[in-house]
Amino acid sequence: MKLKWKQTTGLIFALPAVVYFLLFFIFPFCYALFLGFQDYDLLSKPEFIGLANYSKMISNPSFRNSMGVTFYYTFGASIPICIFALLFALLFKNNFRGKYIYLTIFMMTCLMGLIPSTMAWKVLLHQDYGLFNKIFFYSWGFADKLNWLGNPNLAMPAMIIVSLSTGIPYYAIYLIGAVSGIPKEHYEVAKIEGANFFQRLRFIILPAIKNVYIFVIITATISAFQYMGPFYVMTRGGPLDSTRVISLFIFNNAFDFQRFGYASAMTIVILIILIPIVFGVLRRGGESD
Amino acid sequence: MRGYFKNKKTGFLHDFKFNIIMIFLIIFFALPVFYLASSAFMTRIEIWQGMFFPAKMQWSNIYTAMVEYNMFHYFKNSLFFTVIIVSSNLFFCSLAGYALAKFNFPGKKLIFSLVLVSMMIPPVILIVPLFMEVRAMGLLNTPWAMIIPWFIDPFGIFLMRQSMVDISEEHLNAARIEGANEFWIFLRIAIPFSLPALVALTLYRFLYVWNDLFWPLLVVGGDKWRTLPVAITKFDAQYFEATELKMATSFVAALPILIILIVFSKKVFSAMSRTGGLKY
Repeated sequence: MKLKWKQTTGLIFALPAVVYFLLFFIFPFCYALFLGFQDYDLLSKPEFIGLANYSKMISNPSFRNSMGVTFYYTFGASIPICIFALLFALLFKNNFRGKYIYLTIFMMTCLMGLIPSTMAWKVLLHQDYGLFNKIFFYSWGFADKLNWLGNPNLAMPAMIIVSLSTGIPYYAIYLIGAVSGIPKEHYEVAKIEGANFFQRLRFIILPAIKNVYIFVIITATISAFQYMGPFYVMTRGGPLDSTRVISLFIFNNAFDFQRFGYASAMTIVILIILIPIVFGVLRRGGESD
Repeated sequence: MRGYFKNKKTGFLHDFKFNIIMIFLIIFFALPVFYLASSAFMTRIEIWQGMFFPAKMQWSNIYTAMVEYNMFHYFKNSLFFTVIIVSSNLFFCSLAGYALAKFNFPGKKLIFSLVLVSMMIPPVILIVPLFMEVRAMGLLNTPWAMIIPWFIDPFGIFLMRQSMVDISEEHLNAARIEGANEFWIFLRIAIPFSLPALVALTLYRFLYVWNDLFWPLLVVGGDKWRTLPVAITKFDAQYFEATELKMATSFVAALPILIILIVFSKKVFSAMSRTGGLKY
């Protein structure tokens, strides 16, 4: 195959990307697949054990617990995020004085970063001196100071609350862009027709922002599914494994217990769960072009 | 998007209604930002009493954390890595984006589908094999381990490609006839053309790299190259009681972002809605 000068140039420009994908995307992928069948602790040589990692996974109650916790968190966080992000966007569709200041504050909350926001929430949710209890509970006469991060039944709801505070504004920003792109005439027609809020939502807003909204739903779900930052900083999986999401479980197995083969096998399982979603998104993206 | 921030004539009652709703929302959503900024200047006792504001601004918290506990060193490390990774991303993403937008070469379709797929696969998932690869390369505990696996970013390639598709072919060909070489054309025509996308990419990557916790936690063990997020988690585990110093350090970690948001909030907003609109 003889390449024209222009083709060669293109190839040279794309070369760094090719190197990246080979070395840091395809290779780790294959390596994880390979290690999934090995017993490997970094010290001794990897030893082939067939499907033992996978069968160990299925029979391991901690793994099943982690999957359950992960699904709890994924739906518990992403459903309210998607609903409230849309409501946020609809609020910000309107013009009002000071909108700009509020928008800046919301962006601060969601973009401030993992460590600052989780460190703040860790103190805010403290049983004795946390302001969250003070503002929303016992100042209003509710009896107890809730021990958010120490109680196995409350820890996950607390983590969901933390995720809502960053997730809702974050995805709302995407939706604000889409909602403000809807032509004014559409609303005027709806007004003449006497459509109520839900009819406007159903027939004007949702069809217009459909693609962005689907993107938001899927991104929010995927990112919740593999989320571990706040869990690592705030609860470390506890109390009683009630917040040990799957990516944290993988992380613990790999880097605390040196079970790299086992961790790789779990990585592969997560990828197998995510890949149909990813390809579904890409196919949709292709259709909407 | 234009005119979005401009406030058209609105009645007092209208403004009032929305401001009331917003204030209720702010109580919850601004709580972490507000508390971070306020507790960074409290005494330990004030935090443990559940105060909202410090009685007197304790500037010494910042000094103690930064100098006595050496957080400023980690801050500099974070800044160093962020600047290097973001600039490397800007250069290589636009180069690859330009190639995908304006050239035809064998394998182009395959590269583009890899871009799309890897954009959706969260990096946390590949962290275990990637760690072992970097370990096998002998890069552990060197600054290279922090930089090399992230020298380019798939979403960045996509962003730059989408922006550079719109460069007119005549313009490029005119430059070619003038005898300009391809790299010069890339630098002087393609790059200036896609400045807004570059701003969006800078912001996007800055936020990601500055806040990244797990990769630095795994690959740089020593004190020398430790970044601020890692240092804060270690400090959190080690000095259980020093709440005010943790808050002061976290506040300093958030400060660059908060300043960017206050100064450029319009730019950040449009860059963010731009990346969101492009990503689906």
